[in-house]
Amino acid sequence: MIGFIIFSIFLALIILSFLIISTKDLAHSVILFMGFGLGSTILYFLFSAPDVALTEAVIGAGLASVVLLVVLLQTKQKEIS
Amino acid sequence: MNLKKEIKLHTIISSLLISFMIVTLLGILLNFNHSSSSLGMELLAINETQTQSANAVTSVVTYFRGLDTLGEVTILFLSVFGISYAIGDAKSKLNIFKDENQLLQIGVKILFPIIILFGIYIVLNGHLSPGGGFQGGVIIASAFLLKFLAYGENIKINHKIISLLESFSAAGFILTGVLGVLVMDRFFGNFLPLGKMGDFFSAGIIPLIYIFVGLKVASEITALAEYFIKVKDV
Amino acid sequence: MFDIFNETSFLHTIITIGSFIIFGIAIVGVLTRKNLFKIFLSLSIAEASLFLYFIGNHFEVSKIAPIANIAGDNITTFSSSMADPVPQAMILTTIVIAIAILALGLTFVTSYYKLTNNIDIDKMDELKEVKS
Repeated sequence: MIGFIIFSIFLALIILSFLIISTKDLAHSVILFMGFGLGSTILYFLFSAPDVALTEAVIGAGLASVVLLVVLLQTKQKEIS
Repeated sequence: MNLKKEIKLHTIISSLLISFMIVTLLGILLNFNHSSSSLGMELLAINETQTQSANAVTSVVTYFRGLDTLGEVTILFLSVFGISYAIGDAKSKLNIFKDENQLLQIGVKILFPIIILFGIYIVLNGHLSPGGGFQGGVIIASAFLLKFLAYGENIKINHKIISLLESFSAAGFILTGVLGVLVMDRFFGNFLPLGKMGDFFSAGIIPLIYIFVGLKVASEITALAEYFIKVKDV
Repeated sequence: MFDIFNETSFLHTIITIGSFIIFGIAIVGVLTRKNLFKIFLSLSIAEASLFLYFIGNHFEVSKIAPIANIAGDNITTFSSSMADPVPQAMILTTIVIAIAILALGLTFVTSYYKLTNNIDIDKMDELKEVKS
């Protein structure tokens, strides 16, 4: 049962990573990167590693996305690929 | 999306080959099937008697492998030093969040002490449940980031206090290790009483180390966030 | 039908293949994108895939988290049915280092933009060889 959930979340992560590199809007890719962090958190929790899951949730889906968005604001990119 | 013109075939094949070689190398290093009697199992066996801490990952990070944590704290300090060097003097610049947001200000007045309390709770309970210095420090820094977002230009952070806190916690971390050499027999030796597993005051020097690490990470990430939102006028 | 999903070696194979596909996609993103910001984002995805590979290959199916619970409903003590704590400790510090290095790299992107007002790598030709 757990194996099937792991397999399906990996499939979702593969599709997400393909969407991140191929979309043209840069703000979209940062939001999808936040979703990648969420998928990573779920996977770490299923691998019996709650400490790593907490770290990835706080840093990957919290701090990294905010830093990327602030840099996007500073370089004034709108819709270039 | 017309990707056929942007991504050529030889790029895809070469990147798949490179990733296949990297993963094969990692598999050889991990021996392809990890046997269960290794360093981790022996550390789990001696964890209860040597450190009465309920979280095995915490005792590995701070006690059994405390020197790696010292190196990681050094790398964090070096990267924030590099960022401050590249951005320059932060006192005389404008904020990039120019507009004030009334709705967010009312929310921040309620949320800011709650988030800081939550961060301190996670730092202090590192040896009893999942948590620790790194996670709690980043949560405390995110509360300050929320304040930057809400108040725009009217918030000022005293850089002297932040650098004093950072140096104090780094010095305290190293002093704990040196005290271990002087009182007990090795660097990061356990010189505080161990107590009983599951109590709040237990596990020797492990909560002390995580308090220093949490303070250091919180002050560094706050300084990093403040450097990023200053607009440098050229 | 889904009984094979609960064996450890089959899961290790799935995790290996999945993580190298994500790594391959991220490397394609680094090599073909023209915006410097997107190159950094793809590099960050490549790092995340390797962390998943590392923790995934130390996972066995019926092991629980390495945290002892001595009060409450189910009491667990340290035994050999717990997961390995050493790779978790290593990856925990590595995630924090990765975000610090990403922040340092993005600072250079911001400084370069303030100087020359573009982050399109086709137009960055200060280090190009001079055709004589």
